[in-house]
Amino acid sequence: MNRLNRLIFDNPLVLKEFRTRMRGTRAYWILFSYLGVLTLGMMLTYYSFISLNHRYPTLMNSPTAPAGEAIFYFLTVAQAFLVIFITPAITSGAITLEKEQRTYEMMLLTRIPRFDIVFSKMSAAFAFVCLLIFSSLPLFSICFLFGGVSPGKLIHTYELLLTGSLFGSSLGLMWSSISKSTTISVMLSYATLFIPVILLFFALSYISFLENVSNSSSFMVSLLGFKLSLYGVLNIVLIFLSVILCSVSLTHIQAFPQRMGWLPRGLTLLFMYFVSAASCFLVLSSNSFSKSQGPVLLMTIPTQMCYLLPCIMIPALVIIFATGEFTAWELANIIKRMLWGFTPKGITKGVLASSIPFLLLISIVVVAGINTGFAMEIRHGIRNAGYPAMQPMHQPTSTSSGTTNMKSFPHEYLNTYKGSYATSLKQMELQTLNLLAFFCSYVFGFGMFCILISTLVQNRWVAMALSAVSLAIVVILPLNSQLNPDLRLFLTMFDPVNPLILLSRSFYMGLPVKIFYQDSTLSLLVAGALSFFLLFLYSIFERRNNGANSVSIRPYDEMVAEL
Amino acid sequence: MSIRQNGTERNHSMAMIEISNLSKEYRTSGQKLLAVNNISLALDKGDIFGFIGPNGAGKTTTIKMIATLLVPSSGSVFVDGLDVVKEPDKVRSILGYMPDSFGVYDDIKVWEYLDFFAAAYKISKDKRPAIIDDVLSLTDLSVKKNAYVESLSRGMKQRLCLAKTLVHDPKVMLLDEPASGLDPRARIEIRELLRELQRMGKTIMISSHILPEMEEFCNKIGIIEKGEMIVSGDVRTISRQVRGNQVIEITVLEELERAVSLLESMNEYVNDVKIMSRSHNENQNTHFSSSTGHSLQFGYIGEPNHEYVVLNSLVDSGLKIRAFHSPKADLEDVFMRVTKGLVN
Ligand SMILES: Nc1ncnc2c1ncn2[C@@H]1O[C@H](COP(=O)(O)OP(=O)(O)OP(=O)(O)O)[C@@H](O)[C@H]1O
Ligand SMILES: [Mg+2]
Repeated sequence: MNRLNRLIFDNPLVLKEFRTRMRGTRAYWILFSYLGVLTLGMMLTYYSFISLNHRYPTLMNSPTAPAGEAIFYFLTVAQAFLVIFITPAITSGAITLEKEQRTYEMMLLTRIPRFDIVFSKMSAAFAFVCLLIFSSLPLFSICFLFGGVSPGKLIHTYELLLTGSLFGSSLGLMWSSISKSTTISVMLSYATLFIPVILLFFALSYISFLENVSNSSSFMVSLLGFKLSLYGVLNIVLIFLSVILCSVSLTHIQAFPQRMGWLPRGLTLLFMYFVSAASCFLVLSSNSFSKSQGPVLLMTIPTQMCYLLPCIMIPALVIIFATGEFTAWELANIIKRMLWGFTPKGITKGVLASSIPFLLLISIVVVAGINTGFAMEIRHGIRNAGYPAMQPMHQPTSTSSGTTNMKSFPHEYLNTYKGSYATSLKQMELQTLNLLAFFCSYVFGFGMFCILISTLVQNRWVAMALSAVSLAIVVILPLNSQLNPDLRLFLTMFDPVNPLILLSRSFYMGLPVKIFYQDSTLSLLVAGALSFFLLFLYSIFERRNNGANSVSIRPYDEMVAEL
Repeated sequence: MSIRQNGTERNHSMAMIEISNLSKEYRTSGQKLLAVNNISLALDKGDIFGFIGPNGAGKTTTIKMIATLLVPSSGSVFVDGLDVVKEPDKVRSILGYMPDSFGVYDDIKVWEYLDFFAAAYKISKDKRPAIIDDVLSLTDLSVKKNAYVESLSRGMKQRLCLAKTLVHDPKVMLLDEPASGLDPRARIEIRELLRELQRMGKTIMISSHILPEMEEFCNKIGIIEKGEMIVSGDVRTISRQVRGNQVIEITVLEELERAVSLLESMNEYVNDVKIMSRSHNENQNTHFSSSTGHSLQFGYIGEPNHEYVVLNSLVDSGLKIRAFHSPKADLEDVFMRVTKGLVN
C-alpha cells in the first residue's frame, strides 16, 4: 500500500505529468481528431453499405446485421491502426525529450527510483491511450443497434487494443531510453513496430480462421495446464513483451550502464520458455482440433512446426545479445573475460562477454519448453484441447476412466499421420538432445561471429545490421527460387550453418534431427572457434598498437569488485 | 531548510571530496580521447574550489564523474567518504549538481518545478512549501513564484536551477559554470549567494573560465589543461608558487629612485624590484592625480609574516609611503602563466 502510494500519489513524475499533460489545447485536439476520423469512417462505411443494399437487395437476408459487422470491423481496424501509431509517438519522446531539454541528468541525480520513472512514463502514455480508446466506446455501441456483433467480441477487441497499446508504448519508451534524439527514437519505434504489427495481423487472421472453422468465438487452448482463449495467449505474449521492453528501458535509464542487466535477461529467458511451450501447444492442439473436425480441415500442421519459432527466434536473439562493445580492458583480457562470462555472476551482468553463456542458457530453456509442450500434450492432450462432444471416447467423464485414453490418444492420432510428414511425439522427445546440440552449436558459432563483427566495427548498431545481413544471406537468399545457378551453388556452401536447414530437413523429409547432421553442428563449432581465434588475434594486435599510454578502461563491475 | 541525511558512514579520511588518480577516456567509434588524466584532489568541508581551465580541458568531465553521471576509467572519487561508483545513490542525496547546460520542463510553473525536484528528493509534502519559499528568496526569485518557467530570462533560469540544486540542502555542490551568460549584476548576486552558502558550511566546486570572479570567493583553485591538473591548492600559495615569492606593492609620494635603491639594498628580504607604470597607477587609484605617487612592486623572500621589517626600514629612512600592500593573487596572471607552460 505504501509502495502504491509512492508510485501513484506521491510520484513527482506522475504529478508533473498530470499537471502539464492536459494543460493547453494539444491533448484536446488529438482527442477531437481521433474521434473525428473514426466517426467519419464509420459514416462512410454505413453509407456504402446502404447504397450496396439498395443496389443488390437480395444479397442480404438480415437487413442490418452485416452493417453492424461492417462498422465493427471498420472501427476495430481503424482504431487499431490509430492506437498503434499514436502510442509510440507519445512514449518515444518520453526520455529523449528530457535528454534534449537537458533535464535528464538532473532527473537521474534525484532520488526517484528508475522503476518509478519507467512506471510513470508508461502510465502517463497508457492513461492517455485509454482515454482515446474508451472515448470511442459510444461509437461501438452503434454496432449493437444494427446487431451482428457479440459483446464477447467487443471485449476481446478492447483487450487487444489495450495490450497492443501497452506494447506500442513500451516499444517507444525503450527506443527513447536508448537513443539520443527524439527523431531517431521515433524512426526506430515505427521501423520496429512494423514487424510485430504484421505478426499480430497474421495471428489475428489465424484466430479468426480457427473461429470460423469451429463456429465458436472462444476457441480454447490448453497452456501449461491452463485453459486460455487464443486471444488470451496473444494478450499474454503482448504483455510479456511489454514487460521485457520496459525492463530494457529500466537498464538504460541510469547514469551507469550495465546495472540490472539481469532483469531483461531473466525476463527474456522466462519469455522464451513460455513462447516455445506455447507454440508447441498451439501446433499440437490445432492438430488435435483438426483431427476432431474431420474433413473440415484437411491440413494438419506437422509436429516439426514446433521448431519453427525457436529456429527464427534464436538467431534474432543472438543478433540482439551478442552485439555490443568491449571496453579496452576487456579486450586486453579477452580470454579471462570470456571465461568470467560463464560464472553465475557473469551471466547476470548484461555485458557482451557473457552473451554466449546466456544464449546457451536460452537454447536449453527453449528445448526444455518444447519438451514440456510434448510432455504435457502427451499427458493432458485430450482433457484440455477442446474436442467436441461427438467423440465420446475422448471425452473423459471421470478421471479414472479417462486416463487410458488420455495417454494413448495423441499417439494413436499422430501415428495415423505418420505416413505423411508428422513424427510421433515420443520420437520428437527422443530427439531433444540432438536439438539441444544443434541450438547450442548454433549459438556458439553465430554468436562468436557477431561478437567478432561488433569488436571490429566498434558500433553496436552497425554490428547488428551486418550480422542481420549475413544471416539473411545464409537463410533467406537461398529461398529465392529465381536465383542465378552459380550463386545458388555458392550459397549451398552455407547450408551447414543455416538454422532453417534443420527445420526443412525434418519438415519435408521427415528425417530426424541428428547431432552431426550434414556436419552442421561441427561446421558451426568450427566457425565459432575460428571467430574466437580472430578475436584473440585482434586483441593482441590492439594491445600492441596501444602500448602503455592508453588508460585501461575497466568495466564497472570490475571496479566495484576491487573497491 | 531541512537538514537530512546524517547517517552516512565516514571513511578514514575527513575530506569532503577526495579524488585520487582519476582518469577518463572517451571512446567514440574507435577514437580515444583522454579527457581527464590522473587527477588527484582533496577538498575539506567549507572549501570553495575554483576549477579553472580553457575549453575542452576536462572540467565538465571531472565534475560529472564526481556527480555520479560518468564512470571513471580508473581512479577513485569519494564524496563524504562514499565511493561514487559503489554507492551512487547515497552520494546523490548529499550532492547538488548544476549542469553547464540545463533545461527546464515545458508548461510548468516555477514553484511546480521546485516542488517536482523537492518531491524527487523525497522531501515530505508538508515541508515542501516552506523549502520552496526559502530557496526562492535565497535566489531572489520570490516574485516569479507563479510564473511559467519558460517565460523566465536566461539569468533567472540559471538562478532557478541553482534554487533547484539547493532544494535538498546538499552538503556538496558542484556548479558547472554557474555564472556564464549572466549580466554583471546577476554575477555579483550569484557571488553573494555563494558566500552565503559558504557560511552555511557547504563544500562547493565551481568551474569557470572567468578568472577574476573566482579569486573573490574561492579559497582553493585548480587549473586543468588537456585533462591534466597543472596546479591546485590554496589561491595564495599558488600565486606564490607561480611567481616564486610573495609580491608586495608600495606607493611612495616622491623619491622613487631612493626607494628603489633602498629596497634593492635589503637583498635578504627583497628581490625583483619593478617600477609600475604610471598608467597602471592611474587605473588603480583614479581619484589621485597622476603626479601624486609612484607605485612599485617587489618580491618578498623573507620569512613569512615578517613583511613589516621592510616597511619599518622604509619609514625609518623618511620615505613618504602612501600604501604598502600585497595585491591579491591575480588569477588571470596565474592562469596565463600556467597554461602557457611556464610552470610545470
Ligand atoms: N561524450 C563525449 N564523448 C566524447 N568526447 C567527449 C565527450 N564529452 C566531452 N568530450 C571531450 O572531452 C574533452 C573534455 O571535455 P569537457 O566537456 O570536460 O571540457 P570542459 O573543460 O568542460 O570545457 P568547457 O570549458 O568548454 O565546458 C573535450 O575534448 C571533449 O571533446
Ligand atoms: Mg564544460
